[in-house]
Amino acid sequence: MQAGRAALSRTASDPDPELVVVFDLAGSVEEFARAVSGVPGLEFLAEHEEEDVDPDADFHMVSKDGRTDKAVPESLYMIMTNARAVTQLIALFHRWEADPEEKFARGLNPLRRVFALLREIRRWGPEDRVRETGLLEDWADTLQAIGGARSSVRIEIELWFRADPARRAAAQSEVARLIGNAGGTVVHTSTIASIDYHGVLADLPHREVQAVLTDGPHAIELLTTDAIMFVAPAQPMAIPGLELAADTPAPAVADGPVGDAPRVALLDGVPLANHSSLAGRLVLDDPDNIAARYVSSQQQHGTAMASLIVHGDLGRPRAPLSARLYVRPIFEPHPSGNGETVIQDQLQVDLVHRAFHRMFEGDGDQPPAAPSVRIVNLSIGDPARVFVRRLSPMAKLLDWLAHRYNLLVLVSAGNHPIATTVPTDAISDPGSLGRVLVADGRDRALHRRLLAPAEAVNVVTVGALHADAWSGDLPDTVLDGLEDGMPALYSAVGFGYRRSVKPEVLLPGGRSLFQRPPAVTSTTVPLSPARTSARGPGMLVAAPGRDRDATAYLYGTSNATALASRSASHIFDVLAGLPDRAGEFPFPDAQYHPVLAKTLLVHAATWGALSTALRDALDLETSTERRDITQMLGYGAVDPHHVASASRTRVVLLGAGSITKDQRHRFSFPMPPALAATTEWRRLTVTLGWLSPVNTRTQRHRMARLFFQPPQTELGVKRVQAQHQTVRKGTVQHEVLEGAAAVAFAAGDALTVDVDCRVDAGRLDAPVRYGLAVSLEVAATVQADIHAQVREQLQARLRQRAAAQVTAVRG
Amino acid sequence: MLLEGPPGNGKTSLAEAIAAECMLPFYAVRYEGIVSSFLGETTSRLDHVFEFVRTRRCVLFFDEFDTIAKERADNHETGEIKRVVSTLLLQIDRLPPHVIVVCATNHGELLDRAAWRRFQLRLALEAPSRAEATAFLESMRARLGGDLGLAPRTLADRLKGASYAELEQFAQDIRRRYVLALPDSDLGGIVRTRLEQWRSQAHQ
Ligand SMILES: Nc1ncnc2c1ncn2[C@@H]1O[C@H](COP(=O)(O)OP(=O)(O)O)[C@@H](O)[C@H]1O
Ligand SMILES: [Mg+2]
Repeated sequence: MQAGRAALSRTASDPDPELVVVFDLAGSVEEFARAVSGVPGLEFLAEHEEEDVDPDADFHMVSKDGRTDKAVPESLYMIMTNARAVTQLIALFHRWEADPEEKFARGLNPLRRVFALLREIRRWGPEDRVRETGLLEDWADTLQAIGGARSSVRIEIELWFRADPARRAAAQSEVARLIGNAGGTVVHTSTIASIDYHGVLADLPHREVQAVLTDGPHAIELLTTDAIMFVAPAQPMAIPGLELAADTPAPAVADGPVGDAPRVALLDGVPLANHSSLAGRLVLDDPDNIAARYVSSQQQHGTAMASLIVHGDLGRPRAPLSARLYVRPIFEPHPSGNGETVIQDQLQVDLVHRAFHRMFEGDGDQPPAAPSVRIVNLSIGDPARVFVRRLSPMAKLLDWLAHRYNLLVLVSAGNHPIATTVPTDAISDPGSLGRVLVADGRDRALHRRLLAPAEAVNVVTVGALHADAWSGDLPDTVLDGLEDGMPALYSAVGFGYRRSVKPEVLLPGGRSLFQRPPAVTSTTVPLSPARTSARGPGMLVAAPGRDRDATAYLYGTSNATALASRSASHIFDVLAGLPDRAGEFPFPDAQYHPVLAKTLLVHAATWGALSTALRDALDLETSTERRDITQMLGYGAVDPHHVASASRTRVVLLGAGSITKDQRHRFSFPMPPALAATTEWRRLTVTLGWLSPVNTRTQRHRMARLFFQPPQTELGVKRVQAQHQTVRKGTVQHEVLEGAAAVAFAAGDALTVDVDCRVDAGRLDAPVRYGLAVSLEVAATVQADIHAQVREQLQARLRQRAAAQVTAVRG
Repeated sequence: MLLEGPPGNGKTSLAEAIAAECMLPFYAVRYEGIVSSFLGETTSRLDHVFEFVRTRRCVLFFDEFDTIAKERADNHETGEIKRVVSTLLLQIDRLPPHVIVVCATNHGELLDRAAWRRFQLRLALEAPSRAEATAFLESMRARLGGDLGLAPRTLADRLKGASYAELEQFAQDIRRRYVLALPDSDLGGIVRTRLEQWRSQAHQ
């Protein structure tokens, strides 16, 4: 949880600051883990999964200008069950430091080996409260940019969560008192017990910032307060205003039946509900009357996102969403008057929690506002919270909500500035500029990490591709640095929490351009972004203008996320429309549609030509190549032609179920006779997606670990894409295997995929829902209809085992 | 590029459109702003501003250019202002070709010959002719989605001499008043009073 792969006691019931003990390691976590494994009471600190140990995964200090590369000193913290034990442990360490030869009481001697690997054992302190929260970096940046021009800074304080309301209130009033003493003010407070969250949003006067920057975190009383766990900068995402496209009206959109019960919810800005492309297609639910804060020309982002979700890129609109889109505003106009921002005077976690609560539980004694919603779209990447190792409270909340309400939540990876510096030679040659920019993007990967809450583990995180429907000639004042379809330069890259695959998928997000730099004599030249919103390229989106069909061009990972939500909704349409047939396995029922939509969206992702382009641009080590590409591509680009579709040469089988601790569900996939003993190319893709309950009190967080071992020799195929260790660390395992080796099998043979479930953190209250998609694709040169062959075999199996209790292909 | 013509006929809009089409940043410089902020400063601060501009591709727009570059035969401005102005002109001359300089003036006749000759391109943006005004009002009618009370041609005649900006405002004003007075709006009456109003203002 904190710098280092920290562990928390599993039994921590009410983490109290006095129960927390911090170990500052002198060496590596692995070494320490080996030493503590023999010490009674500390052995759980050693609980690292074998696969977690990733020798070149060392973390490095990151400064905003990007140069320091010192390894981060690792600290682990643990919560003990008894305050006296903490005091004793610390005392013992100090005695040992004073006299390493001194004899310890019986049973304590193994601690010597542990002590030898430590710099310090201590209580939770000021440094811990700000470490990796981005606070110091943000304050230093602010000070540099505007000096003391702003009289206060806003912070989000996370208190140690206490289950007892009275103790919680006491802690809060203590914190409020200190804020008041320092001349600050409390802006908002919130408690969300389901994720152990107790937060205070506050403004601190500028001199407190100054003191911390000059003298360190211990300089102000607030950061030395026991009740406080973390202090992070509160800087809601700001979206710059758009210039409108002058002569590009939104195309007339198809009228079609629009279902009344929304399936997709958008949490974003206030949309222009009567825009020609949106009229009659939205359900705007604005209980806080945020619309009153806007003038219509400011309603840009919500309008843009709504049009993308409903129609796709208006440059090439697709069939509109089958049901109305539910929109809950959580943005407001930026105080500067330009652009929008997430509502500033509330804790974002609380805002989002209230939005979900209203949709699925209802406010007060009101009925739920949108219980039919199954997909939630969220693009609130927090620029001050670049994901390092600690899950943000928002990520924890989304993880909890996705599981609690059985939802597919789609979150944008986040946007980073594209400005950079390249060798001057590269400018004249488009091919070399592309390679240079890809390599530069990789070098800056540390600074282009996910923005919170994109690290949430239950959600599907969406990154962007440099692609859109715009076509036209570019003036020679600009440069298009990348080939179409490459990962966008602005799109945040992985990994995710505990080095999981993130963002899982990439979809088109619109192209960004650079201004062509003026001729220079220097060897390098700075590149800055060109203004594209008025004339493209980019995605054509609805915009508030003087006409109802006004548009603008936009790029960003939120565009890609909107398209992913659209695809997911399409998958739901397909799933809902699948007719059960007599003599065949029934399709999974609606409770599994969210996990299946998650599974099928990722199932359509592939590295394709992108990995070739990356290998071409980057000098990758063979041994770490797949891992490096996984970091940059995740599972790859979603191929729109492969979303929930099959063909003569491509057969997809679906399964779903609910599984619990140490169970195994076996699925079989009949082999098409056409593949027996041939050397035709084939690809097997297996995807398992689930929604895990989360235990926000432990660092493991993800409670249910589901996995499968893909068949290989049985089909003559090998893994070709994402690295096999990383694919098991999130909540969607996606494996692509290819081969052309001849394998012999008999009629009626089947591939077996076993879905296993382990429980990592705590006890499962109920079985976990998952979806499984297995597809087999063969070269077009295979004449037989493998789809028909597999179907026949499935029917035969069902006749043989009519009594089996199954869903889909579960055998 | 020099854009010349009476107010409200698109000088600023054209300069902005050039920047937008070239996808370049648009920096607008106003005479009073720049002169007053550099009074009492050494010219080196102004040089710094231009140094910044020179390093990038952009459109640099000087509105009211005549106030800077007018013939200064009989002026009673202080030596201080003269100093700032001549530094400014010098710096404009020195800008590299990747900076597109657009200057606008309502009074082209006031420019001195040397200033005039600086420009590679000089465009006059005149008030619309009768035919242009008719076409413009027609497009306004389509855009506002409603009748303007008189045929565009008739209206163009009555509003002779109006700039594009004035025609636009007039049409918007008619529609706004019409919609606000619904359901019993009298479009003919609204147009008549607005025309009267316009005539009396224009005659002042
Ligand atoms: N040639 C034109 N065609 C259409 N509209 C125009 C034209 N010229 C001006 N306008 C309208 O008038 C407004 C003001 O024009 P502006 O560019 O500021 O004029 P200037 O800078 O010449 O005073 C513009 O925003 C536009 O709505
Ligand atoms: Mg003007």
